[in-house]
Amino acid sequence: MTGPAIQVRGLSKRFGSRTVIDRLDIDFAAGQFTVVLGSSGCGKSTLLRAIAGLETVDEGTVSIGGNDMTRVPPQSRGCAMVFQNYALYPHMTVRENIGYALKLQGLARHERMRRIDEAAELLGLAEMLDRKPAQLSGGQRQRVAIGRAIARRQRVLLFDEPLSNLDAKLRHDMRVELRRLHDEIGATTIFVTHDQVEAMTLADQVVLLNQGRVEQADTPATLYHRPRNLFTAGFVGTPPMNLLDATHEGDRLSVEGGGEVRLDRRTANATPVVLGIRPEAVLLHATTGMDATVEAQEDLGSHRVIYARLGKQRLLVTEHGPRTLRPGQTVRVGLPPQAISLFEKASGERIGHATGDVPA
Amino acid sequence: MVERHPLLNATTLVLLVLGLVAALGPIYLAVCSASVTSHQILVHGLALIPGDRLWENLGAVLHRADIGRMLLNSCAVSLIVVAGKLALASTSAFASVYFHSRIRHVVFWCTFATLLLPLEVRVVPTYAVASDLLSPLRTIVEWLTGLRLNLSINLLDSYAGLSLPLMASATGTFLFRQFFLTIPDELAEAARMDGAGPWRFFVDILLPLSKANFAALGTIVFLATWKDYMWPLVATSRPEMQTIALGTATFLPTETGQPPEWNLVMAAALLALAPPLVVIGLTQRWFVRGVTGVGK
Repeated sequence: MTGPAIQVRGLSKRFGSRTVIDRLDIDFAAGQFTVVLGSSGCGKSTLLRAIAGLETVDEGTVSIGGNDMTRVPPQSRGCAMVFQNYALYPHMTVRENIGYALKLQGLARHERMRRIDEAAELLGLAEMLDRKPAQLSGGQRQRVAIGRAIARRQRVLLFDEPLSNLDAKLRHDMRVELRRLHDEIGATTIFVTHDQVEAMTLADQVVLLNQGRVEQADTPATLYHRPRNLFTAGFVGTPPMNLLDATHEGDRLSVEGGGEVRLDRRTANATPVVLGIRPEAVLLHATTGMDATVEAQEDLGSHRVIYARLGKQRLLVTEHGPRTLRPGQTVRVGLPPQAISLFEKASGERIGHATGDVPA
Repeated sequence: MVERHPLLNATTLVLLVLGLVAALGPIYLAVCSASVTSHQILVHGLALIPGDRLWENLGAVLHRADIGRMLLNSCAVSLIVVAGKLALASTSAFASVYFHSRIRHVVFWCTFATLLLPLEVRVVPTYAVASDLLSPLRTIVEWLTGLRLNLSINLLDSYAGLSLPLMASATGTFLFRQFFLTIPDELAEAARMDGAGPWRFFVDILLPLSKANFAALGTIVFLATWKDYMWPLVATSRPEMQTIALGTATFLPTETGQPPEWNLVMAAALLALAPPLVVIGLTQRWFVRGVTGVGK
């Protein structure tokens, strides 16, 4: 049984004179894992709380499974939520925390116990059912919070930055576990985060929010390889996409301070553009291309990030394999046309969809 | 921060001993003075060494006045005030913290402003209301309809009259409000998502979390009501409604020329002291947590 689809239409939320969410339209596909990504203050948590019903909205509607839920109280929307600071009831044991909602629903005791045990089993909490939250580590508390959400068997799960209080190792483990849980349960999941690694690894679909508006809603791969505008291009990916000023004339793209690239698309007039290319797509020691000067490099073990200069512009390249470059050296770099994204200089919007294919 | 230094330790110890003497000294004097004859106190002043007449004096006190009835009155009034005040304070604080009405700040600060009007200041109007509870209603009805109602309720010389005026106070509301404000909003939101209405949240989540605050406020209120002298003095005239605080005072001379029986006053005071000691003994652990704020 998969969860329902969720539609957000024309949603606006203002706090005083500040508009946090501005006429948002988003579709959350049924049973899918959607990550809402954005930097702090972009309105992503407010969006989640509006869907949960914890926040009233100024305009627009939220519908879940085709039913308008905009004015429905939170407990009747069929959503369960995991909070950033876990929000466990400190005076209750793990068992009572997970079972509290079930008790309020009026479930019989044996059914409650069955569901609690099931959730505990799924999350590896069986040993600690009689402990209080204060006796648990951060990761265990996180599990209890998730257990509390899934024991209710709601078809919509909402996560508000649930991993941000965990250390790096635990965050990685919980990521893997969350994805496994989702595949097992099949609920419609909305996961809010500022961490793009979480977005890339967890999501079926990523919604990138910026100042209360959707910049792009796509699969992680599309978001990464075919950013729709300069904001997305700059936001997604570490190290970020290279964004170079260039001029497009005829079928030639001349990079400021560098050389030329021949494209399979033409313009009549010379137009100023921004060329976007991922650091790992840039070829080092190319036979044809442009000369760049190496300034510095960072060794990350599995690969190196090379900081090079093309005229006045900075170019980041990742290098795998043995080290071949020293700072101050000049290297010929190739920019393969199929890896290039082009953006209008003035509007920052992507030009054309033929370039920058998503690798299968 | 804990500092360890010999001089500091010695100073702290001296201060502690001085504090202990200041706290226990008067009680020691009371015990000693309750165990000697009236004559001895009149000649030598308060006794510093215990005598052998403690049981006789206690017996005389119990014989002379209905101490049992007074202790019962005090217990009843104190417990009623504690229950009423805890209920009022916790629910009003709940309302002022969790219900985002536009007027909640106004209401809260109005409540807070009543701290400026303790019972001592408004004893005359409070007495007037307690003696004739429906007089405002009668006035309004007469003003609106011209009818003269013949209704009246007199709360003087009753437990209601002794306890109701002491119940409402801003300090309790304020104490609970400050505690509720430290509870993260997410807890209330999690409870809402779990399907708990406001009342369920209050009973299932807030009350268990504020156990220590209940104990602390309850203890303070019990003691304050127990030793309150002014209101029982004003609000009672029948001896069987008197509280122990008034009862102790009955051993003081009322006519000039009558010799004061300090030994009996002290013996009565000792009897009056016993129930609060029991209360403190029972709630002490929670009381400390509630006051220092580590009860969660």
